[in-house]
Amino acid sequence: MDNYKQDSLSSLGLQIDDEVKQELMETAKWTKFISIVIFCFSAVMLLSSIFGASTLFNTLRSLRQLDEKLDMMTSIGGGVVVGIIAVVFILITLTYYFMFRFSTKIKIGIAIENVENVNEAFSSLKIFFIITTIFGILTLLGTIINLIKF
Amino acid sequence: MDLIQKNDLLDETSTISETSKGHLATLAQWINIAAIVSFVSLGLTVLQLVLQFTKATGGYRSSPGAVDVIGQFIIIGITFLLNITLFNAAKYIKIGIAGSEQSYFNVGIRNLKSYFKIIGILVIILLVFFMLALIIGIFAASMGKGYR
Repeated sequence: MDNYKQDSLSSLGLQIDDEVKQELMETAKWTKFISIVIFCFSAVMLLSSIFGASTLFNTLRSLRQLDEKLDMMTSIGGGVVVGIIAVVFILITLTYYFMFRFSTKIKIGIAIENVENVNEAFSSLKIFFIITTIFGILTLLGTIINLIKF
Repeated sequence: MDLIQKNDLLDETSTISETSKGHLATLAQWINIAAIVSFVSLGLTVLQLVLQFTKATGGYRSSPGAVDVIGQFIIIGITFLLNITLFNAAKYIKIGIAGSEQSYFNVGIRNLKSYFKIIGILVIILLVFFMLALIIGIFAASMGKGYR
């Protein structure tokens, strides 16, 4: 049975040998740490930006109490800003969720020598890199636009 | 019955192995694209900095301080190191998969680990700075209250 399990991992043509296992376990440790820090940071930033935005718009509202139209516009603007902030942090959390998933799945996959978990781990890491590359391309476009403006 | 089940499982695992290979190959491809995009982005950032610097020394704006320049060089250096590691990871994983070369595959995975390790260490350094800033902020706020 053990031989069979070993076979299913090594039938890639490549072996997931002890060295690779050790490297992947260490990678999993670091990716887990990074993703947890990002989750905590996102939660703190999301809460503080919602709190900051609501304080700012309450102040603006109190300044424009006499004008109802402006008050309504401030409310809508506040909602849009909070919405954008929320979407950005949800995207960040979702991206790093795939990194977190990679770390948990690869750990389980290597511990119990299960190919399905290893597959899911590599698939999660692939999705993580796809999303970060898309963000990278968007940043690159931003830099190009800035350079053209220069 | 047992034999049939075993055969099914064997079929399943051989498909999974192919899936693994596919995932690793596309993973390497995306890592490669990510590294290239990051290299181009870094190059353009350097170009932007050079342009800013030449404009500033041309007398239009105040020239950036030495601390700014050193800070930017450090950031560029670290980003370059990260990109090289990522690029090597993609390169060696690709070679490893294509030619079933175990040693190249191992080097690729080691580079991938190094990439995340460097990011992890940077995260720790940033956390330390963040904590220090928080402590200094709290200390300054309490000092300010004391003076009132």
